[in-house]
Amino acid sequence: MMWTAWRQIRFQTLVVSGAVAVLALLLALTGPHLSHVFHATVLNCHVHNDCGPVLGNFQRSYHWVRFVEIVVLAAPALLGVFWGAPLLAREIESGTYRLAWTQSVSRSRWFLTKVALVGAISMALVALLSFMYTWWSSAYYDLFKGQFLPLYYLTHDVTPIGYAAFAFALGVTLGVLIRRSVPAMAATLVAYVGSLTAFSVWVRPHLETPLRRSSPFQLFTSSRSGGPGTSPNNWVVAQQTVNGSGQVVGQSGGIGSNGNIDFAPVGRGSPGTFRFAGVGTCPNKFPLHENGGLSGRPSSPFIHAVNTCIRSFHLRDVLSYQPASRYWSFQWYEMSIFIVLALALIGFTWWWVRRHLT
Amino acid sequence: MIWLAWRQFRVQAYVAVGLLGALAIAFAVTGPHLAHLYDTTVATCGAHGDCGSVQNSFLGMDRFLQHLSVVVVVVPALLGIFWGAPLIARELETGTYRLAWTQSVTRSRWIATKFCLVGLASMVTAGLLSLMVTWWSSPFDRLRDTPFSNFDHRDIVPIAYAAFAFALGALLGVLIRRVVPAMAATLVVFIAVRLAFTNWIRQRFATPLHITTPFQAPGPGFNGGNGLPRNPGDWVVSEQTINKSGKVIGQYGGIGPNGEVSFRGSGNGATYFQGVGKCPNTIPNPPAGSRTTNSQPPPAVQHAIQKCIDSFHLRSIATYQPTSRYWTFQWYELTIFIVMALILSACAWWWVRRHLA
Repeated sequence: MMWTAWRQIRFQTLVVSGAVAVLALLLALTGPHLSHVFHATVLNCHVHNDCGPVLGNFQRSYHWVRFVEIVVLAAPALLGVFWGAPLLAREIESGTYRLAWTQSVSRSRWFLTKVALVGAISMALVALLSFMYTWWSSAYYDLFKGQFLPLYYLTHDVTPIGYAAFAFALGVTLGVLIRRSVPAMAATLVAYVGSLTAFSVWVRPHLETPLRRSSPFQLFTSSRSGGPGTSPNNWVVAQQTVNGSGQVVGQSGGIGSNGNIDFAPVGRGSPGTFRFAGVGTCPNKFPLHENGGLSGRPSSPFIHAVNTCIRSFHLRDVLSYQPASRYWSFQWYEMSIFIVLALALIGFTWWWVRRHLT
Repeated sequence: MIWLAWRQFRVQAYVAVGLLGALAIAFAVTGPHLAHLYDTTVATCGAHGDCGSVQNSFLGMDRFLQHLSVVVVVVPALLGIFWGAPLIARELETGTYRLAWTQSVTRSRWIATKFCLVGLASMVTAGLLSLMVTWWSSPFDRLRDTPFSNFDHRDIVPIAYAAFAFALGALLGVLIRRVVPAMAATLVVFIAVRLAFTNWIRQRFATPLHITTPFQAPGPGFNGGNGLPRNPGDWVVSEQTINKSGKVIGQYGGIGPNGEVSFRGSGNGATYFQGVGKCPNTIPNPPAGSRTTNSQPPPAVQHAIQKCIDSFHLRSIATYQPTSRYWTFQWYELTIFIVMALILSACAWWWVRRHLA
């Protein structure tokens, strides 16, 4: 049985392994040089005062970093689509599974051998790609920080292995359920991209409770990087503006849904009384010669009045963030979650094949 | 025959219409608000003097949909894989083409109808998608003002990519005769052709312009390159440092393969400009020896360095394609890909007539 399964995927495996080997070889050949250039010229460019040209050349020599990144990002999806989905769908579509079952092979053994063999090869190839890429790009990412940025997080270290297992299992499952190769492939692509996006947007930020840091609200301190003094590798999950009673009144250093910070006169009845849009009426009086808003270059008494008004509301700027130190626990968590999902899908499909396929 | 081709293609067409519709709704809900926000905040920020923060927060709007616009890059490839490659290959694999040919339909008509219907549908899908994304992203694009960086996922070229991907898929399906291998081959060849255009061919559509300036010692900071006078939207193809005899000795405002600009003193009091030669003047306390990180060297040193640099008559040459050529390039690339698509379709048609029994 092992022999048949291997014969069925031999050609594809050799082609894909060949491509991965060529890429790995290119990375292995260029990596040490790039790392040397990084340590010899980029790290001490301040001393020579030539950071502009040195960084220009360094980025140029990493010209292909985006391409390799996309290869690592797409590899699990492609393996799920091209290996996972047709694995059983093609046998069902063309009826060849009947032949296999009339031999001395039980359905379980037929299913498990195929899935285990191709699944393990997929995971091994993606692991090799991911580790080679992580090693090769380490100098580049020493410079351009952001371990939690999606493109970094999704393509480095161990998460791609989990994605490979999940995408493959998803392909196998949809192939069995849909029973036709091409529609199953399309469905796998859509379902995989959808799951990964949903996980990135809704689940990953809450894998561990984010830390919070709160500071008094100030004008124009919008910053997704976490502000001065925090590591650029921290992941700012949310930045909210909170009023004195703890209610959220805005985000990203602004007020309201558009982030506008707007002061306007209340009306003719009470000259000098301004309203802080989205927050409340200012307790202090504003200088009268200004017509409100922040149009034109505001005078310094006006700015003073604005700051006094802002302080009177005790607004706070609350950052929720995942510290850089959690990077590895996130990586392991996420890989485990996707591998468990993959096992669950395979278990379900195994049951389905035994139960419904005749 | 059109009826049959439509029946075979119906489900896929519905899926495409559904996805386009969903995206259109998302864009229609958020787009007008973005355009309004651009006009009221970004366009007037010069008068308010708060451009930095306003532009930053504007670029942070609807980040998810901004990333989603990458689908324009991916969709032509998907159309080639899922519509083009199985079009004929599936009929060959399952043998159903024999049935079609034993009806009153000629082979030519059979293949021409299938190609026209699905090929045009691919182009319309990619065209509508690109139209929506181009419209929705226009406030962001206007603010960033680097049209060449979005060249392949805006305006009209995605239509031609879709036509090419579709014809490529159909041809490979005819040649390989099996669906899944044909799909994989389509993906690989399509990516290779697109990369070749992006990295090597597109920049040669028209002779690039040059700006030459005397070579300057780089200042502190990370600006990358010498800050040559040019429009920020221009596409800089290369930026080279050349010496007096016209030989290229570096790029991006630096010298040598790593772009360093460094001076080294020798025992006898002379200073060497690394990779260029011996300075005619002496440089007091060369900056390589001083450890004042992240600050300008004293004016006397700066002056001596610039004097040494000037003595070699080095020049920086920026080679670029100006922003004004954007539409010319779009039409060029559109034409080339459409012509390639027509040639591939003709090959497929000829092959079916000649070699399929």
